[in-house]
Amino acid sequence: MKVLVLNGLNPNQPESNRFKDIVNSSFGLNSSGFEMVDLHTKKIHKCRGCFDCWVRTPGECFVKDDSQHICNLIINCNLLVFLTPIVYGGYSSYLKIMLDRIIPLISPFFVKYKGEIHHKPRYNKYPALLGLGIQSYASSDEVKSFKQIIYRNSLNLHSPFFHAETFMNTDDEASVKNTMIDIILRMEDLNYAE
Amino acid sequence: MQNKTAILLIGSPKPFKSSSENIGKLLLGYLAKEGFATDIEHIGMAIREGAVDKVIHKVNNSDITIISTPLFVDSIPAPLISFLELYQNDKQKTNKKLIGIVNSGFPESFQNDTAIEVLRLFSIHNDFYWAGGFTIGCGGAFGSMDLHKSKMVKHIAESFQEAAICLSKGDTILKEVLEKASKPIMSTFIYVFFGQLGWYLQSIKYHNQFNLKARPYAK
Repeated sequence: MKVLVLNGLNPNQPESNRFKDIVNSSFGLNSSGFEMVDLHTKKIHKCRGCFDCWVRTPGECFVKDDSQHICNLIINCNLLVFLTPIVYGGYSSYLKIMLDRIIPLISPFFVKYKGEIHHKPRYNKYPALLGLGIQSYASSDEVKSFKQIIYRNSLNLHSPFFHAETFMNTDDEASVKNTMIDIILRMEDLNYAE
Repeated sequence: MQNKTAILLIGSPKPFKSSSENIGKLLLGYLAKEGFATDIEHIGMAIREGAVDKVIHKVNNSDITIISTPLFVDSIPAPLISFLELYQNDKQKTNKKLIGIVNSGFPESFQNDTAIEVLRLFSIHNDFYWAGGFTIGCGGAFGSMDLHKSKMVKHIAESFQEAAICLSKGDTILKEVLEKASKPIMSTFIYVFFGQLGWYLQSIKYHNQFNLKARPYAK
């Protein structure tokens, strides 16, 4: 199973390295083809909202930076993992600046999907989606919002499966690791291995 | 007595003529008619020009802050998240109100709910009074057109006018007023038909009409 982790943790927050290490060790030991992209080290411009990726250079953003390589990794993995602090119930700006650039992966044309209007898939298959959100303060509303965004992303990305898990930044390593290994085993049971 | 103040923050990365600016200015105009002194800031420009502190200062001194933004991948765009991450409440002014307006290219306005929830949670965490969130679909249909003259968005204009009256009285925006703005601008069938046609017509300009299904990353 090819796993791609988009690490949107804030490098200036003290717990970021700890969670990055836990994810690295949990996935690294349990998945062949594991890759983590530290988004804060990449050159990614903000999306201009021009839609050139749909009509001018179909399937690819007109602005050249690291986002093209990351889009390529996304569409060719089996499991896409968003690792992020929960920011007001959503993603960090480190993660979101990349996610705003993934629209070339879908078509501009509309289709009715699960009773709603969404964009048609551009590719034959899309990765399953896993959201890992880290809270610095407890808020059930923010957890609910984070999980809802992962669900909505899974619809728009045509993901065959999605799951969202949240942690407190004070959670101990062993419990976080156990939860992650449980998730990985569940994902593998769903037979996403190539 | 000093005028009450309202500031519009535009979350669209487009510097000019965005749907977010257009729709945000419509509400701001009605607040001006109700006697509010108004101001506008583009978040993308403020970040690029290193003027975030200035915008935060303005927000902290405004009675009402309106955030008008497009929906980007089920949430607000990254530059607006950056701004929210940097925001510091100086707590000098109390009873500040926050209003969200999220528009998207989907015909169903409810697809904007997740982005509105992010703005609501920001307001709660930073001691704003959440005055309400407007979710508007079919953003591609009105773009930068004159909203005062358009019959298509008459219900949105009426909703904003009623909202401005609520806010001038110091009230929150009524649920039915918010719901009125969320009503569809046109039928889903018509919106989707003209939307598809629009993509084809735009692609012809780049001689890409037969290449719209390209899969550059397929292996």
